[in-house]
Amino acid sequence: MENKQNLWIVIPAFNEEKVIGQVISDVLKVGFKNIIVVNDGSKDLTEVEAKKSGAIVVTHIINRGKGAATQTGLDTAKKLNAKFVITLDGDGQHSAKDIAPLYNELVQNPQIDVVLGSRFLVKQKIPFKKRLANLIGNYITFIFYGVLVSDSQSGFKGYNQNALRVINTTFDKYEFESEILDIIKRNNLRIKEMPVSVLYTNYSKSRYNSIVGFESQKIFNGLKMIIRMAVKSITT
Amino acid sequence: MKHDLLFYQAVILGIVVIIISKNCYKLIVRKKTFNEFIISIIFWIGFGMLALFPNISQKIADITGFELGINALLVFTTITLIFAVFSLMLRISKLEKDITGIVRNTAINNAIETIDRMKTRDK
Repeated sequence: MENKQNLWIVIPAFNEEKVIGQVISDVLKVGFKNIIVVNDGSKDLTEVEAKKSGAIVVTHIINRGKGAATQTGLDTAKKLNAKFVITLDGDGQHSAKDIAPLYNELVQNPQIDVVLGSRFLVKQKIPFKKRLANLIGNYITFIFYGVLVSDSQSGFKGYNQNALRVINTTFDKYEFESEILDIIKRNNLRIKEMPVSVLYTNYSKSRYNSIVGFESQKIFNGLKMIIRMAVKSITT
Repeated sequence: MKHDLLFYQAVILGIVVIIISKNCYKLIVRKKTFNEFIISIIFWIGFGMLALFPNISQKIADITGFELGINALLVFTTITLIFAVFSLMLRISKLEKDITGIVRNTAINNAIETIDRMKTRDK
């Protein structure tokens, strides 16, 4: 395996004080020391916990959304001369053990610019609502951008320098996951999907519910996301 | 031509006069550019004329091919509203982008400064 120092792990986090320490320590345990946590205007002790656990913390003074936080992480990694970057979620749903296979793929296969960690390439326990939301997300991404993948909303992705140079997302919220696929297509980057495991704990489920709210609110957010993507498509 | 002023026309006329006066003030104190002033004056005078002389909408309907003045009004109002909402969305989205840019640059600069300080201290 190539020098692990060339890889930077980017973790966007918003109010994750309960789990961010564990997420960072899991990443450290598998041998990756370069960790950037983007504290996206958290109201709790996320920043303190992340620093205590040994990560570099980049703090948004106000909350800007997962898309904005991830792009901030990628920009910081670029400034620190990262050769490779892997992003993963801050709520502990991703397994640090999956970092190495994604990294190896990027290192050993220079034709691949982006590896997409997919939750749906292997059989695992994923709530029906999540499957449905992802399926809708996949088709919306396909309709807008012409890219069809098995997990368009995955936050577990790996990039080489080719990809890092061109990825500059403009969406601040969750639509940025689809926008990245658009950028990949426009720039003829090569992508490979790889299976990753996912763990939906009571914490991550309750957090999701507390952020997004009731079902009607979720549908409303989904519609807002589609409108934003449509407006951008029309105006650019 | 004798023209009795109806209540709603008087109210609209009052509103238009207030808005135009405000616009003049904004132009004088340079809170508005001349072009913005002209566009807004044309819009509000047009609006006032439409309230004072509703027959204008029928004339517009005749010219554009709508059968009734009210149809023409409805269509033009809808188009104007859609345009207004759309331009508002664009403006908000630009503002959001600017805010994110500022927040991001501040965050990255602070982080890089901290890293540099730590490196210097370690040396």
